[in-house]
Amino acid sequence: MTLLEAENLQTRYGPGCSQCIASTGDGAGTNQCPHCDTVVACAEADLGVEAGEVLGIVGESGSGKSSLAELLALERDEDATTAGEVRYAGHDGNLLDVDYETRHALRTGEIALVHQHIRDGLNLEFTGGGNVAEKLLSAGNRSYEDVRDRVRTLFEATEIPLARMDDPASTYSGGMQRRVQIARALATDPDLIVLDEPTTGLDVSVQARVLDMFRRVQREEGVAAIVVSHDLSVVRLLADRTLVMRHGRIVESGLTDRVMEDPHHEYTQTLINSVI
Amino acid sequence: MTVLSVDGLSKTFDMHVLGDTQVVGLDDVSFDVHDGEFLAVVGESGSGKSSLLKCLYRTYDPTAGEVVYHGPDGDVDLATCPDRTVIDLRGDTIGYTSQFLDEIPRVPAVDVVARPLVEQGTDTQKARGRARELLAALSVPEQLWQAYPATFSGGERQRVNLAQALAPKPELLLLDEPTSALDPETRQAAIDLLSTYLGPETTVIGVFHNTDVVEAVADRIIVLDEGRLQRVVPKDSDNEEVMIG
Repeated sequence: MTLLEAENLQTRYGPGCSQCIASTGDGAGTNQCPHCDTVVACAEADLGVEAGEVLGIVGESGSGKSSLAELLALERDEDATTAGEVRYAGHDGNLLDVDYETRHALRTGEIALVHQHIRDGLNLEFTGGGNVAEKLLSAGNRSYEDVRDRVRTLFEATEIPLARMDDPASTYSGGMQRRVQIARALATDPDLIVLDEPTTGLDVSVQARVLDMFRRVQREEGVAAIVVSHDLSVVRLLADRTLVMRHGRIVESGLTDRVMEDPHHEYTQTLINSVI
Repeated sequence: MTVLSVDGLSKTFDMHVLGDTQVVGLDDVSFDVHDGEFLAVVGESGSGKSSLLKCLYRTYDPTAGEVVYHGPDGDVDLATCPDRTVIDLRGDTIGYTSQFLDEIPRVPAVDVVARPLVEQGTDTQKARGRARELLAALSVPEQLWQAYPATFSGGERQRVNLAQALAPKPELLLLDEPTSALDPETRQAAIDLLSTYLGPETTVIGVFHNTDVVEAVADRIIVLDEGRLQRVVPKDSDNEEVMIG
């Protein structure tokens, strides 16, 4: 079943002109329009996500991968101009055009975002449990016992010690904070989780545990995911299919192992050959 | 009954980093694979053995040709079917293992082996039980079962890898040199397991370096040379000359 379908997605920063699209992208070798200085963060992006599938998006800094992920997670950036269409199973019309209430309902229900920067996703003054409970409360859950039970279940699933549930999140290790973010994202049983650079700020050994935990929970819950990373090994571990972005465009897509072992695009070949 | 029909399979790599050089991996390879058969692929290094398996599994995108899988739900051309069809077929229908273990860091050996079963829906405890049986059959020391394979020797890792590939008993199993790092004794354990664990419902295409493995398990042998199919050798023929180390 197709969960999400996106067509011709675009995010730009600047006034825009009639030549922006033709003057940016892979062929042009830049994401900035030489005519009006507009930065075309991503454009001409088409993609689909099946229920339960993991889609990876890789590319270097500034390739547009986070802009694309933010559009799909229905994040709003007041400075950006966006265009395109996102269709989502069970909803009519374009998700990019929905009103505030619908967007809020989607973001507290079906679509969850795990921010790259922990401070954007968590309130570190709250307890770890409180951060997860807050998501449940904003989704309309009112029973203290139900919320408490759900938080406990989520802490167990994401392997956070229950004894730490009522400690401030600021006292947690980086790996635990990332787990709380994932627990919070899972709280309302979403169909889709967008993970933006899930290993940022984590030690290598902690990265592996968090990724393995996420992979297990993702399969158990059957939740689809979009995993954005500059790190090919992260996408390799998690994603069924992978998109490669450069200069704001998708330059290659395919089965993750195919993209890694038989890269077609010149840029992908360079990227694969650059892995240390 | 034929389970796989490979026709005119070719693979050319465009190496942009080498100034757009073209490298030929496979050139017009055609053969059939029978239901329940154990087909060995032999040939010198660089003859295209691994490329062939990767084209069948779609880790490589074939440049030309057909790979028709005659499955229970009808024919599928693995060379051209959509990525999502490939994803659906991987796992319990088509399994693949390379000679190198590609494990998730810090997952114990027993869970590495149990993972494909769990992903298929087998209960975790039952899957671990099956994993322990396979590790025991391949003489992986019991004290290693809960350890992380990253620290294992080459031979131990390879046995974990083979156990993981065999565990789900896929309909079509592609093995790329699964015994290359094993000593004669453990290789024999692997041969025994290949013959006893997999039933007639599993068809195997395996790339092997060791003649004793090929002799023990293969029903037929195909010989590759410089990306081309040189010949097909039936079982029990005088096949000494095809054994290329």
